[in-house]
Amino acid sequence: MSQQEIDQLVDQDYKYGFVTDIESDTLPPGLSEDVIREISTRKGEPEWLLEWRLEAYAKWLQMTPPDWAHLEYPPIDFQSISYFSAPKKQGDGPKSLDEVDPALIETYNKLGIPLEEQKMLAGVAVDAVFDSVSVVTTFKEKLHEAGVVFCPLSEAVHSHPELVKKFLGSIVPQNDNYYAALNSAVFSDGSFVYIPKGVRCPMELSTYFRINQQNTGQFERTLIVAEEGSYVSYLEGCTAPQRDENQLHAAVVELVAETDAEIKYSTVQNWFAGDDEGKGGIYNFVTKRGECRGDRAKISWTQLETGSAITWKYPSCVLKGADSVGEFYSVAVAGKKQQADTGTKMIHIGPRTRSTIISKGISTARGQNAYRGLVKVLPGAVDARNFTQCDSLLIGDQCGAHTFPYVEAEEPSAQLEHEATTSKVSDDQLFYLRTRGMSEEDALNMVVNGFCKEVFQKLPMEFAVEAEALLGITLEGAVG
Amino acid sequence: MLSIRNLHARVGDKPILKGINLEINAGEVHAIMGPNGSGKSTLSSVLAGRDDYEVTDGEVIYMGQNLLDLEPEERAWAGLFLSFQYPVEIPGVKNIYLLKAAVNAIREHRGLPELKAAEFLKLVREKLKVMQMDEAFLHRNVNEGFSGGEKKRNEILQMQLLEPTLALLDETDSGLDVDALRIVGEGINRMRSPDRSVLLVTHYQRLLDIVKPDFVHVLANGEIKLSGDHTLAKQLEREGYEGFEAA
Amino acid sequence: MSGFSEWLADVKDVHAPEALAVGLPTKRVESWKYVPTRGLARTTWQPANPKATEQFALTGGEFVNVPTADGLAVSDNTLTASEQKRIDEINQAHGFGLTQAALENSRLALTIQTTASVVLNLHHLANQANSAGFSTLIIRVEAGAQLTLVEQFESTDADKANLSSLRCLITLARDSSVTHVRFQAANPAAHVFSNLDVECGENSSYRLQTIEFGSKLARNDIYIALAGREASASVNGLAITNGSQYHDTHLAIDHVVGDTNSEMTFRNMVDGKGEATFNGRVLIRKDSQRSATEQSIANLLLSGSARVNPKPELEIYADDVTASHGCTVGSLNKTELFYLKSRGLSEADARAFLQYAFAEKIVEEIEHPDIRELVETQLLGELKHGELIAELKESVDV
Repeated sequence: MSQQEIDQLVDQDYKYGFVTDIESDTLPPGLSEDVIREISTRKGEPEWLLEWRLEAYAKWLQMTPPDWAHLEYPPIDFQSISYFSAPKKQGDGPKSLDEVDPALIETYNKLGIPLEEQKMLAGVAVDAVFDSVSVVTTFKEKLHEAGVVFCPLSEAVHSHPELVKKFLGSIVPQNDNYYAALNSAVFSDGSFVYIPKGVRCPMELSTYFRINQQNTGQFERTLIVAEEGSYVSYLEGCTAPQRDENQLHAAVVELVAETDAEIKYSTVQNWFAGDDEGKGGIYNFVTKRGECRGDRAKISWTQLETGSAITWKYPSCVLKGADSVGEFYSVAVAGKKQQADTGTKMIHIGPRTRSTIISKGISTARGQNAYRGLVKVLPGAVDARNFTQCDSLLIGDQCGAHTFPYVEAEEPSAQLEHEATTSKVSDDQLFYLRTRGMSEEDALNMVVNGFCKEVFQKLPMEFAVEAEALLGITLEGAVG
Repeated sequence: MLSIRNLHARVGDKPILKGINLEINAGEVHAIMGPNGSGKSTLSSVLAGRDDYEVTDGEVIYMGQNLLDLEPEERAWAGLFLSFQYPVEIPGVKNIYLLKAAVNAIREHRGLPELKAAEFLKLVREKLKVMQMDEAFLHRNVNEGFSGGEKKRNEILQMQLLEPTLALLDETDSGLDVDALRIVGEGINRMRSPDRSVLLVTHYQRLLDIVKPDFVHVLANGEIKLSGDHTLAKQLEREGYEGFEAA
Repeated sequence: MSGFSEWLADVKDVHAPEALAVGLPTKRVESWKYVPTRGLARTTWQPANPKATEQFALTGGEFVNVPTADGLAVSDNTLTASEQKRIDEINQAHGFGLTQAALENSRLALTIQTTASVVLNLHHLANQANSAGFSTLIIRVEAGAQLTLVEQFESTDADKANLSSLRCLITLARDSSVTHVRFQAANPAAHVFSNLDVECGENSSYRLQTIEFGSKLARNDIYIALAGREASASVNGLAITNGSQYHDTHLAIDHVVGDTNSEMTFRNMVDGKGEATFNGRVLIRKDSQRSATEQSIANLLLSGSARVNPKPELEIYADDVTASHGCTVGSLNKTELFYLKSRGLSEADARAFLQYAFAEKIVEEIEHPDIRELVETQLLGELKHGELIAELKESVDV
């Protein structure tokens, strides 16, 4: 694609502006071909996309929910879910922070979230003079100048149909797994990011998100394409607790990194975890995969998973290009009656491909935390390297920590190393800190933060601090 | 015996040796000194044939042969010996197996008859005594669980058994206490002879008090900056490497 | 259909109909994911016949020449309730379990009496072409008794598929100990199945050393339950897989109660077109506090067509525990090779040294000197260029 063409595409994009405004109601519960046609019509999608959704739906009907993760939850009634609802309009929410649940405000304060941002997170109607609007405008201009396309996927379908058509489902095929198939059939919206050749995205796309949080619905779908030599850092989610009336979330994220491109994808997931009995929490069944297509490409996943009743996600890297690099840094916390089953897959195909996996699992209360990962080295991935470290920390005697690392190696020059430990928080460490005047809770916090340090360091700066605070809040009441 | 001409070598894209020239004649003891990161260990590794380094220019002629064309074991057969800065641990293989296999491999290439077990044991006991090592060393796994000093002594023990023509001793003095330093130093001295040369690579001068070199070279930034006799070592000890690092 | 179906259709056993219906496990069964079952399915298996021997042996699915010794008694082979429960679990673990149950030829029960000390040396003789034997050995080790159980396999030339399957149930009463050495060097056409189910009572200790070179296909299912306080288990294993061999060990250690200890070290060396699978699982149950476990798995891949599938698993439901595992995959270490070559060893000898070293870390742990010697000799025979080390051992070991 020539620079001119890209410019054209970019111009087109901004004609529509970033924020979409679809006037519509929520569809009644139920899933059928007709429902999918209706979703597509309401979103004004082109024919090819409707066909694609229907194809995915047909495949989904043939599939069965995965059972290998030993997660405990009642069968999901897919006919009781509503598959389309319009984004909430401003003005529907509370009029001021005074109307917001004080517990939520307290959490925001603990996280150190600025007042104006608190309003947005809580869905309070934002005053027109609030300067985040101008901040958004500035960001838009900067991205536009760089030639970066960053818009809702539903909009990219119209503004960049050939790119969407080319890449959608190219990394996570429709029938990759049960929930990916469902997502492909009914996906609501998500982000589309395109970084042209040689462009270093001028800002963390996280920054943008923080002040322009969109309700992307329960079947989010994200596609990021980084052309040759480009770089982007993207952050999804939010440290603030997110509530949602939809219990099932099945997202799909696809990343494409061409030669010398780098994508850094960070997630902070704090969906409602349910009550102490696990009632009402979100089921977060996510498929995330990136492909390093070109030589020396790099994809790095960093995640902090504290929310959801059930988390089922394995952000993966397919390392095709020679010397390409995959990374996975994860902190997963399972408290209350949460079940977290997360990990990664690193598929080494190209020569000298390298991957690093650092996973820190923390289990408290009656939480069950599992690392499940696969490192696969195909013949020809000469001198491939992997280092995996999975550490689990147990706080309390009702929780569980599990490690299931699969390795399949077929290349003799590959070198793979895996280490894992499981232990409880050391009484000696806690005691030592308390003799130095810290409360038991602060001491625990310090130890746990130390345990997670390696991963937090990988988060974008502004989120690292909040991530630590979030961890502290999550662990409240874990001792004593 | 050894002439190094305009030797350039790099690791990855990083040039380490940038044109080394050095002549070592039979019977001479040379010391290469220099600050950390100057390329000292690279030089001895390149000479012994480690393939982590890529030679980009220059040549090394050892006893009329192009040394760089030879495999590591062929260099050993030709009489080259490298005492490792960090001797490698090989769990599962008894020290004595390695010693005997090495001695006989090299004897075979020198056209000497294989040593029988009894002869070998006699020889090895003699050398153990010199290095003040207990016979138990023979039945421990190669370098496994050895202290730093024991590993270095084991290296010199190997040198005594293999009787090289040219010995490269890479930081053999590091990690040694005073007594071990003396034992190792005397072990090296015993090996000095008119037809054997030694190249000592070291950061400090203390080993050179015991093993007095004929020549001292200062290696900095991949080049030999200065050469002199053993008094140069004393001077470096007093004045440090400061003047050489900048270049 | 071939495989076991004709045989199964002939036998009266209660498990036969279900075994017939279920058939051999497919790749979809997680624990059989990597097992190549084609060879099993292609052969029309028949019952094997016992061969003449003077040793205590398992042949044609029968135990022959059961030794007599002080403290050793042949006991009633009716299963206790607990044994029955364990056998039922093995039957149901995967499709092959039912086949094993249905085709069982013989069952021997031995008791090692209180405070006795017994050495048992069981020889597995090769079965005839296209024939198979299925047996069960029950060993009850009474309080304070000690047993050394050595299993050896006849290594003859064979080019036709043959199969042997042994289920071994060992129950250790309090304060007893078992050292179990299993040396599998079966013929190159053998299919060797082993189910080992061990229950450790209070303060008992079970130590397994398993060395595997032989057979075309070997599958070991090992389950060790630490059911009494202060019980401990340790497993050391080595599998050398070459040619088109497939070796598979699924090992599970279950910390049923607290204050228990386990340790597993397993090494795979894979060359040629060989494939090796090792699944090591440690389960620490709720309330099994103060348990400790350590796992280490090392895998050496020596050829571009070899494949290894190691998987260490930890499943932990108690908090006051220490658990760790490490797993590595790689080829021979370059620095070590360079070191040996710089001492004058040829490339081939240096490689042989390092392969020997890799295996020796497991073999040297075998306390039983005769067996260790036997294993080492065969190990050197297995290695390409192992002659040098063989010669060195001969000459300098006193």
